[in-house]
Amino acid sequence: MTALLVRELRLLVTSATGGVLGAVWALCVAALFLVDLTAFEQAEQRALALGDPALVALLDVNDLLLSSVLGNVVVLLLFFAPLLAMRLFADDPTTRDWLLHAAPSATTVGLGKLAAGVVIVAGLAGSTLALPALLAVFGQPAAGGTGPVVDVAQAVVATGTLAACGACFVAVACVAAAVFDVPLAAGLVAFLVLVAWWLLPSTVTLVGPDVARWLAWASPSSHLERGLRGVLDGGDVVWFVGTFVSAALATVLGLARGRR
Amino acid sequence: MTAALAPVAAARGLRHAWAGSSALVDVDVEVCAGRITGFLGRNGAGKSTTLRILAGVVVPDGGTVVVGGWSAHDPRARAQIGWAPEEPAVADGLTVREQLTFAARLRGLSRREVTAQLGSLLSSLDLTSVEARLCGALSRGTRRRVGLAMALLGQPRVLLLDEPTAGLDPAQVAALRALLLQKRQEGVAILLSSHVVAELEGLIDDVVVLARGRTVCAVDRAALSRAVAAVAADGAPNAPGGLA
Repeated sequence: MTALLVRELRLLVTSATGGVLGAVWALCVAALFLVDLTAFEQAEQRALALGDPALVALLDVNDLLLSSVLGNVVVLLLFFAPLLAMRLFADDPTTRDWLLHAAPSATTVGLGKLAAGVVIVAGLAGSTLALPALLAVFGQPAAGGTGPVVDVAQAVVATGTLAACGACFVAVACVAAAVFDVPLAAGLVAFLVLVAWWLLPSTVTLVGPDVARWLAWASPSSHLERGLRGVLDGGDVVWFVGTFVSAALATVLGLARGRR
Repeated sequence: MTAALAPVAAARGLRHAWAGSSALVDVDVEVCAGRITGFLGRNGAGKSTTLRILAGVVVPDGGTVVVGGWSAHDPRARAQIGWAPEEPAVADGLTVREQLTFAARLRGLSRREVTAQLGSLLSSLDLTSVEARLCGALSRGTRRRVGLAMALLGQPRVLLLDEPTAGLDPAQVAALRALLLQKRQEGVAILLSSHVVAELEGLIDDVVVLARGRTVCAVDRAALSRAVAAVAADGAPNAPGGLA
């Protein structure tokens, strides 16, 4: 599995696709951060102008700025995960056959490629730790304000949650990539499934409240929201692990089915 | 055809269909240690499909495949097989050395074994001068040799070579023949598919001829020569030499 992981990372990092994905990610994260930072500064100015200390105290960079940025950044992963999975499983049929021949099992091939996707997503999520670091180093307090007080623990939990969410997205996208022979079809199906999954809670008006509660639990949104606030509980961890393992299993089964 | 020798790999009564049309109807093929078996047939006769089944990447609809006493899909069986598909399974973004190292590691070779085998393989297949080049920048013939090196890693007991001489120049074909003869000396069982009879001349010990998904002939070389001579003397139009 390690051999495949290294191969996939080497191919992805040195490919044009990898370069474009990395550049787009950096640009989008920077843009989202600047937009939210500007909005936060304006809100802080207004609160200070009103002279209400209670209102100023509510302006927490961790909840109002960093969580907000990461909440928007996760939407990028809805696009990135299918592209990543497409790239990971874009081997020509002969190469795919040869991998299944030379590897000890389809599990090795599936998990090796998935592991590469997870490493990439974890790297992308980890890069967002630069945002609280930038705030901590360069943030200046407005006149009368306390300045940014970055909660390191919350930042780490939030980034970890972003990585876990991205890993689940990649795992689900890999299922489609392992099942469909045509990479473009796999990417489209994966994207549609991920968007529908993400939007499950918004179906609350279409289904009863009981069903809506289950759908909200099944969707990544609520788990992500808690994680970004740094209050991830045991149920959320079980959800992330369970979703990832299920999708990884389905990916392996999809690949094994290829021995038709 | 080789009654005195126990086959290392054998497929019997293979049946397989692709998208509703029968690719294999009834294929029997076996390879024995220290022998080179020519696997002949026109394009589309089912040679590549049979090799893919023997390599354990396709499950046949019917029939049995045994390699070293295990079913072809058993990892222990696949570990004994070196398979070089017609189109080499190389990644354009890896160098030759990286590609071979990856292939060796995937097959479970230790770092020490990789180092030991890579040097001799690169040298014997004349790949030393291109080991640092990206596979995507190689000529077709060189890519074929990389694919062959991948099949030889791990010192397999059975070699499955799909049209191995395609894209090679005469000198490379001669080097390949020498390498295969050396592997035969070492006791490796080799199944070599081709649709050109002439290129197997002086190389093979046994012949299996496939036509429209069926084994139509499985004999040793001497018997084949006698059959060809008899057919030629009889003036029949479909002599085995006309497969190409």
